[in-house]
Amino acid sequence: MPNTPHFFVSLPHQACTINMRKQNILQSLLLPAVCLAAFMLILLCCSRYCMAFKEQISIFFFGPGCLSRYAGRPALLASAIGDLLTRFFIAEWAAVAISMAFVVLLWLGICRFMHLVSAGKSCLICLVPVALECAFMTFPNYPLSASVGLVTGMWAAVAVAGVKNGGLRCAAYLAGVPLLFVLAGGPASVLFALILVPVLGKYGIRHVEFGLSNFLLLAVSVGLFCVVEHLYGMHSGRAVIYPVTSGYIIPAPALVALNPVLLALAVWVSALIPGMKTIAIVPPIVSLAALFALKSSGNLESSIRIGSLAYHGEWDKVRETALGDGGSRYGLYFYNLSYAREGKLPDGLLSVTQSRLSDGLFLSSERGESYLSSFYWSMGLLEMGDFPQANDAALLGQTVMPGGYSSRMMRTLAEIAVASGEYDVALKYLDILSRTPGHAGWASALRKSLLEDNLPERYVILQRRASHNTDAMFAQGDIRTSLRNIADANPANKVAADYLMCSALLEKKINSFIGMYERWYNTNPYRSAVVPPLYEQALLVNVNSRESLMECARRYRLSQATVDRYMEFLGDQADAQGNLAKLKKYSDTYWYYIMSVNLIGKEDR
Amino acid sequence: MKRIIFLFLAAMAMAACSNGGKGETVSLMPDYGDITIPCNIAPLNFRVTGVSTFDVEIKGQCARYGFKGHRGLVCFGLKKWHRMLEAEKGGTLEVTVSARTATGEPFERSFTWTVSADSIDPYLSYRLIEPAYEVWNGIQIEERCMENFSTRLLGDNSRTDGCCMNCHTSNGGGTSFMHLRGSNGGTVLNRNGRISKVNTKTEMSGGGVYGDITADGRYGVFTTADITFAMHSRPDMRMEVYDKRSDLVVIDFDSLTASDSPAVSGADFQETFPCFSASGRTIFFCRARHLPQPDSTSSMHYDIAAVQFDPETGRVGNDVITLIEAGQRLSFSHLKASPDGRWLMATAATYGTFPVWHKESELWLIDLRSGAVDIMKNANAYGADTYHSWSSNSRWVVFASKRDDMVYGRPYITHIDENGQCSKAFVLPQRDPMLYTNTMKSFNIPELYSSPEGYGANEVERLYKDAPLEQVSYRR
Repeated sequence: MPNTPHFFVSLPHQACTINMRKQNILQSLLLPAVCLAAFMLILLCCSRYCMAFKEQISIFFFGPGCLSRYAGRPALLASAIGDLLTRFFIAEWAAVAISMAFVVLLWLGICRFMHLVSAGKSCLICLVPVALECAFMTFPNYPLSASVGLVTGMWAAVAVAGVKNGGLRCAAYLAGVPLLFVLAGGPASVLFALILVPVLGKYGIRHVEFGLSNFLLLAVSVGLFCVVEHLYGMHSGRAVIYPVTSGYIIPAPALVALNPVLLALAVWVSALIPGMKTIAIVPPIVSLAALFALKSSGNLESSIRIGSLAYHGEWDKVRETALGDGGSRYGLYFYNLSYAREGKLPDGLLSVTQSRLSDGLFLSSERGESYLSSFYWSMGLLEMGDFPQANDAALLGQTVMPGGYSSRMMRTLAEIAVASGEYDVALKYLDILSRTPGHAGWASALRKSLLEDNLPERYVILQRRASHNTDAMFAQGDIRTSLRNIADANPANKVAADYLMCSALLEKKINSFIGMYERWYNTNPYRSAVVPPLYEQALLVNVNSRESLMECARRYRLSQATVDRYMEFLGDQADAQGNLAKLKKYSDTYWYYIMSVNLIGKEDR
Repeated sequence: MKRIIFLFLAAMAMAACSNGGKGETVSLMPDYGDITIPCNIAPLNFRVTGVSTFDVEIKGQCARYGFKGHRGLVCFGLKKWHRMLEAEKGGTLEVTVSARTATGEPFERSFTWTVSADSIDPYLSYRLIEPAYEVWNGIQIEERCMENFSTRLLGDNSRTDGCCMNCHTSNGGGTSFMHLRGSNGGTVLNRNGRISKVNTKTEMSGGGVYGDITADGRYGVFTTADITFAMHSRPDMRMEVYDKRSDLVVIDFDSLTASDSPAVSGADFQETFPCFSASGRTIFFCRARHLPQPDSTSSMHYDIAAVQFDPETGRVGNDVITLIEAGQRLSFSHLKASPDGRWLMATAATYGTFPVWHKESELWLIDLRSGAVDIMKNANAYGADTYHSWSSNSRWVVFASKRDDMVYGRPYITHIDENGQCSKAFVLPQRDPMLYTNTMKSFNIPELYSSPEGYGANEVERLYKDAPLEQVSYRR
């Protein structure tokens, strides 16, 4: 053993007994495998929609200029590979499988590295950063390219650690730090810089040392990193986490920078303190559990799940999920939207417990709202025929995404452009989407139908909902004024009118509802052809006497069935003496809703 | 599983054959046919859709030049291109593109490029922004060298707390400004290399918005306006921006004082889009009688007016002259006087003060000597043509046009000869013209200038975060 002033560790060569061998197998194969399988199971059960959502908030397109999008930014290779592989996240299980493949590659990289530097088997403590990586993966805006980058950094370290010539190893180290930043991003570069420090000394890779020269090399590599980040016009805070970008979903993106540090630390701790090996199984599991618990209580997953089901057109599942999720805002919104798409918003309104403030009807894309709100709101605005605001929400939804591109929003933008008759820009979006795996078929078919002037029926219906003839201005975000303009200008748009009227009903603004009914339904043969039972019920809600009931029925041409049921309700209501349980059989009626909601609209005071 | 395999195979197939698909129509993109180009412009790389390889033969007065197109794209070598333009300056190039389509049919198209001896200013700034109402999460102001394809960032709002940034305006002679909004915002003023952050809002006047700087860089004239946004209910009209009130203010950058005049402020009229004449002795601006907003926005018709300005005292004259009355069918905006003093260019729309989303908007050229107006048929096209900028030799104009898809603006260039005749406009060349198709950003507010801006995004970030705000005071 060379005589050296540096802190020095040399790990014993294997002279194992059978028991030790069994223990080694347990530590090096079985326990990591169990842990990794557990991680996968948790991802699959708890976060598969969040992970699959990455496909919707990014894009990769082939063809001319496809790579120029990545030029001028760090993590060139990792971003391109990550975005390409993310296309396959269109199926949830594929999202989990591909992500886990990178986790396994990371783990194998750690094992190989530790084997190379004679640290023996990889220690289970190294599963902590691996677990952390798994936890990050569950955040929708932690791109796959970040994992690709980290794995690249790990395996680059393996490659350099394998270089026997010390000088060459140092040269490769110094070149590798900036190069990895360019190709794989900040975390890869940080990991590479830190993990290799102790094996840069003159004694070779079998000797771990923390001498002055090692730290000098580290300092030089940090300097090189700073030079390169400056060339990209970045500051260190952003550079060390790139391709992860700040904001929106990951609450503290700086944590991402911790992962490579933790990984390097874990590797060297396990090398220096072999005694920790047997108890180290606890931290990865505890940390993983804690991170999952911290991440969310499942709200984000369920919000993304219902939004994804709607995006993929699985409206039956949307209704099913909404009924089961206890009346979340997005659940109600998509539930109502599923009926509005069919022009039957009032029919489904009271089949689920609605928010009394119309939260389940309207979202918003204004500042301060969740990015999901912009994402989802564009779908609703499209159905309502408010194309300018739908366009705005979709563009906002796309802009807030990490890469500034979103395949889902681009599809929505294409749909809005087709619906509003802006075919030139629709073709731009469709041109990009037709080069995007997963959307090419849809985009090419729509493009073809656009060029042949043979639009699918859905777009013909949407086009009819627009307010093409008259124009009115309104403040952005003022959805009620906007819908009123559309409903006034376009009798063919029943959806806009229904949204406003249902909103008035949920908020118990009966007078306002009656005003709208008389304006849009009672005088309009197109709309009054079939009056929804909900509206008939609402028209009767303030009627107390038999005479006024007959008058009301005559005036609004109410169906006999509704009139009979209301009379029956009045009788039962008197018997129930305010006990709602006795009126359960009317729970699908507006009369029941108005009794059950303890909110009095301003108009009724 | 089948879906994933299909996706993978589709991806590979798309990667393998992204060009030259059977049955695809052969066309050139962008349209560079029969145009006049500056003698120092970057290579006019173009794509030929529907073919993979093709030949480009350029026949000039001095020589013939041959180029090959690969994978549907011809990339002219920078040195060879500039040598060719230098040799053919003042002449006409005959360009012939020939290829065989995927079905084996011959394709040939010929057109001309007239190489003007007039050079264009070598730098162009523009703002990159999503074309939406309130989307300023990803604004960048980029500087592009017109002689090659190099770009650099002048501002990036992801580094300035996501604040809105706008109106990078240069006098072409070393002075420029750019507004940063937000809590630490201010006007970034660059006076011959000295960069500062200025608060143009005073106790008596609002903060500067649209503006211009005199050639010597001492004075700036700005609109101070209460700007409001609104949406249209018609799907093809998107959004409107209107001023509830607007006035003009002159700022002396030497003394950091602001002054106005009853002629260009007050409640009776709304004044906006000011610019100095080449001599700096006249301020041109747009003016409309005040009407309540937003009810009367569509009745706002801005005339082109002028008022005297004394550069010695910094005082604005009292008499306003209306140069062109807008009547009831027009409204003018974005005035820019040519540096040689001969021309005034304006945007004409049907109403209002924000023509960017008015598809009918077009550029008009006014001869300040004769008063003749040219509606620039060669340069204009349907789809908003707005935000023009003169080259310092008054022979080139760059403007933002949405003509390609009605939504995304792109910088177009047109030549103005000594008689005011404009040439067919062409889009700013890119290394790969697919950039325009692939990008989700609109190129907006293009501005030409002759030397590179003295700062970059790093300086702007530092300025935004750390620099003290220099306060402009009101001078009575």
